[in-house]
Amino acid sequence: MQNKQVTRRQFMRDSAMAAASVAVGLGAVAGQSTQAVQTSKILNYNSNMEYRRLGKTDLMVSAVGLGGHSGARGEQRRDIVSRCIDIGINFIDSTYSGELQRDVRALGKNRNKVYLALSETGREPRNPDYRTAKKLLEVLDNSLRGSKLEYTDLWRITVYEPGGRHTFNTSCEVVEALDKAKKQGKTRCTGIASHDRRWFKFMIEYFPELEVVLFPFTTMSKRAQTDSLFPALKKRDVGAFGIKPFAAGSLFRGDLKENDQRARLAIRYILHSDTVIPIPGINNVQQVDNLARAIKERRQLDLKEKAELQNASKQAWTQLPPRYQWLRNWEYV
Amino acid sequence: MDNNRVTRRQFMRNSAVAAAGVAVGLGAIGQSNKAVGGSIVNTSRILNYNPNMEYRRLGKTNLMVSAVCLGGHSRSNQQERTEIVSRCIDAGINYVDSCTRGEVIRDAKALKGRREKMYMALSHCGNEIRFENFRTSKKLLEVLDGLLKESNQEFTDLWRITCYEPGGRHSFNTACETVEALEKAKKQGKARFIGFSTHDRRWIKFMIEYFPQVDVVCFPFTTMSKRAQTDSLFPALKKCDVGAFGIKPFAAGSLFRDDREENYKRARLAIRYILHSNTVIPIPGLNSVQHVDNVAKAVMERRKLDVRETAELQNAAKQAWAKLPPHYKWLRNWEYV
Repeated sequence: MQNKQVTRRQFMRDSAMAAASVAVGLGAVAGQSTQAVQTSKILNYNSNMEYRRLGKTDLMVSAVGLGGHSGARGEQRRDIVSRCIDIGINFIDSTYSGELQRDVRALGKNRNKVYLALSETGREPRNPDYRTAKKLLEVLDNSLRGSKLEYTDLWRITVYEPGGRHTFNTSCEVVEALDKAKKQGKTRCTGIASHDRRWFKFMIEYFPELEVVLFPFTTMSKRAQTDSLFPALKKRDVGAFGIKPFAAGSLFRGDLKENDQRARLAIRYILHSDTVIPIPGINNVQQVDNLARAIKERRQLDLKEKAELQNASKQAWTQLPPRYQWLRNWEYV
Repeated sequence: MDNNRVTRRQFMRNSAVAAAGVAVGLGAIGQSNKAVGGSIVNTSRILNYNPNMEYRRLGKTNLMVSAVCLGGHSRSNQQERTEIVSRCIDAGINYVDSCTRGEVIRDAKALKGRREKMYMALSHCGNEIRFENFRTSKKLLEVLDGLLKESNQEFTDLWRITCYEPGGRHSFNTACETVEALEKAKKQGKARFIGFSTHDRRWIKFMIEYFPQVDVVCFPFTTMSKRAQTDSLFPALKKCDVGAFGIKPFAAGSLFRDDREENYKRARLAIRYILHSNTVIPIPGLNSVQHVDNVAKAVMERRKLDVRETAELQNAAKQAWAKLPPHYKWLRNWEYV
């Protein structure tokens, strides 16, 4: 891929050969991955960043990605995105076309340095008017046109937070839309975002078409003793992004330095659990630098750090605003 | 089972040894081995066995049920129904399906004193998941308890919950609640076996593949139904070893016209066609003892239709399609199964 943005035709051809080249395995060793990975194949590679394989998509994405939600606009967002590129981040998520257009503008000539994910939350299956493959594909076309993109790297449809409330028919329509978009070269990879563990398990087990999922993963999240989602993700080789790593900001308090420390502990905790790739929403360049610093620190927390993070998490739980109470359901994943 | 009605405790104990007994396979060969599956069956183990009836294994339940059974919907009052049930028992039919509260009470009464001759399935379709207030496992179990009590039964042989006809409109959560209710009822000894009915092929496939708890499904199967070229339900049923009952074998009566003799003949052709396709067990609603005799006669006839019979049935089926009342138009979706 040589870090050049590929045209739709190219990437469709490349996808066909992807499996082969991965199977071959290549010489150079990078980062913490146990498998040998050729770093020149990694988009926006930076030797200070860690990269992880995103399940069966075979994309190597940075161990921290840039989340969609953020207060930053215009110039400020441009600075944040530039700094992300400087430190080797190569994944940006957006959840509606406003965010997507903002990030496409912020990227400018750097579009080829990151994978861009998109969704149009308000016009996807949460809205009863958008529960057919046909409708969803129209919305995708619109999003792409609106942001002048030929295709997206990941179309991750946003469904109900309690996804199990969706009907089986809706699940089928969602998967049909994703699959068609992929076949038509409008998206490289397919995925869904929800907050319903049992339903996720069903979706990835029943629909092998799904490649990526997004769900909440905080500093209080850990593997469930029974019915954990982790083995299902592994078995189906599905990539996972963790949203809300800082519990929607509840992890923080007034002290800037303390907050940076907590953010790093949170990132390290999540990376050490070795399951999801955290995609925090970032509001300024200092926060980006802080992420880069977290990556370079040890993964495993020592006793003192663990206690610190636990304290911070407890405070996060008590500070959780009413509309984020559902984050508690993600203590066991 | 010695053809005696088992108590709940007995059947829970017996279930544990059932698999073993089947695996051993037994000596005697039943006359019914014109049948299917080819395996040797001990006819003394068949409930209400009659050498003129054929019996088929109902998937993983390992029950041997008659090749034609007595369906639910029928106009009969208590006395008529009692006579029909008696005639069914005479003909070797050993399964009756009841899908409304009224039918369950009526059929349990009709079977009074000879409950050991037939398996009885039940559903309370008006108080099940088609209705919003009955979409939790707790609610469904309450409804089952109530129904068993009202019909003076300690347990049912098959609890088959009636789902939306387009079952795919149910949410995943509702599917989970339904299966949880069924499974609990089975563990508590309130239902020997569990299943559901719907008219949605794609959803049935999902349900039986995703929930191994399901023993039996009921769906429409008419004289126009045949195996689909792609995505057929048949291999999934086989793979999951799920038993299948075919409802509406006569296309909700549309197969018939004014000529009584002709109708009997058409009914027999339909039953033979369905038995020959070797997939579902038809459970027609039978409205008189003559209807019972007629399906018994069909079972004794050849399975495979000859060219003339095929043409006759095709004509009748075309007419059925043309006559289909508006609220039964969905039967057309079951041309390919």
